[in-house]
Amino acid sequence: MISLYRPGSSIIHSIPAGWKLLGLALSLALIGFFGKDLVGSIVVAAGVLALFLLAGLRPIEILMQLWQMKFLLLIVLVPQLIFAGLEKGIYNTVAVFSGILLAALVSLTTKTSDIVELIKRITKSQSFALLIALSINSIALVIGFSKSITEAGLARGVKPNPVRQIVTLFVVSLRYADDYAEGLAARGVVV
Amino acid sequence: MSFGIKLEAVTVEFDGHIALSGINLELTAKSVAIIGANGSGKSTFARLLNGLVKPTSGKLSVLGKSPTVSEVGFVFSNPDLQIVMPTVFEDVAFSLTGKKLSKDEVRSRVEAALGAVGILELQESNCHTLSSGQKQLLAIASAMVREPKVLVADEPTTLLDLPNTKHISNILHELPVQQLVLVTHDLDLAATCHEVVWFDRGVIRKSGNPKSTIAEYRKSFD
Ligand SMILES: Nc1ncnc2c1ncn2[C@@H]1O[C@H](COP(=O)(O)OP(=O)(O)OP(=O)(O)O)[C@@H](O)[C@H]1O
Ligand SMILES: [Mg+2]
Repeated sequence: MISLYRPGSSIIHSIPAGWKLLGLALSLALIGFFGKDLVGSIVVAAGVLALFLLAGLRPIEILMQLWQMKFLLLIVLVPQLIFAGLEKGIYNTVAVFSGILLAALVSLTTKTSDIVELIKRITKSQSFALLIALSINSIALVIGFSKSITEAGLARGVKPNPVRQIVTLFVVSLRYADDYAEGLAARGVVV
Repeated sequence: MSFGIKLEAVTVEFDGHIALSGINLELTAKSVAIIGANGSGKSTFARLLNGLVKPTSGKLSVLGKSPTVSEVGFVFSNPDLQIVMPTVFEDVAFSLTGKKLSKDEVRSRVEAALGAVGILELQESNCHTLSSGQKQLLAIASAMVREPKVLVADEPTTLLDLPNTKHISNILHELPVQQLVLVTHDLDLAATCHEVVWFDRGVIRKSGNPKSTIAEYRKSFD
């Protein structure tokens, strides 16, 4: 669910990464505190929309983020509706998803290198910061593997099967890891 | 001597299997192509030049010194293996990690490297959405930003179509390096270099003038 950075020059983009993360933490606390009734939910939802617009992202972006989380939405919404009732269930769901959308907004408007830089400053560890960067990068890689495994299967008339898919993904990723390690070594960066 | 690449009786063994056997070679041409069949030792030779592979025996020097990854740039055929950061600018800047440069110095060196390969306008793009040709240019920029004196490319055009192959070839030859070493199966590409070395089952079969070396290589299959 890590959304990739969208370049831009909005106010939101230009806030330093550290402040953005602090703001995110504060907002999450506020949402948890106030987002429990009709007015609160409306304010929270409107606030999230306003921040996305302020960042120069179109409302469709919010829908796309929500679409990526569709299963999570179901998992959160259904039990809420059953156990907390319609009204409270909706308020709680709005609160949870506003929080996730805000986190997505931070990653959409903050360069990985800024986050990595921040981690380096806080932890004083270049290798830990590099680890984070590699983890973020590997998400895009693994999604790519997953696609090609599905396609390779379909091309041979094999129906996708979750267990086989995951095992193959694991094997492909491990094999790739070796080559990737050499690729990294060849870049000559000493950390 | 502090110029060029020099190998004296270099042998490389992997678990008892000899990949390169007693290689004696001196390369001073501005650009050198390495050709030969699959498994003939080309990649092993390329990896020797930046220290990724160490000789089992023999002596090796690049620009008068034992080679290191930090001084010899390297480009693989699959650029995905070298991408670390999500965006183009960040990925090239990653090569300068630990170099203690100011933000402005990093910016100007990254821009110069992206400019040299002609993808400055892609600096904010997401690396994983680039075309294969653009990714290869990115890999070259990421190597060049460290200002290596020697650049080694192991089949840099294997995944590319003809126009991109030509483009990469032109870019590689114009890079500000003292020496370019190009491993390739593409004999037209090999012919663009000043010197060609033909590897055959771990030894050098012939080296020298591109025209005659390539012609003899072709003939060996008739
Ligand atoms: N890390 C390794 N471990 C074991 N054997 C290896 C290793 N790397 C290369 N070899 C072996 O050394 C020999 C030369 O391999 P090399 O990769 O240098 O050939 P190549 O000329 O680059 O081939 P290709 O055209 O297929 O890329 C091969 O027999 C190969 O199996
Ligand atoms: Mg090879």
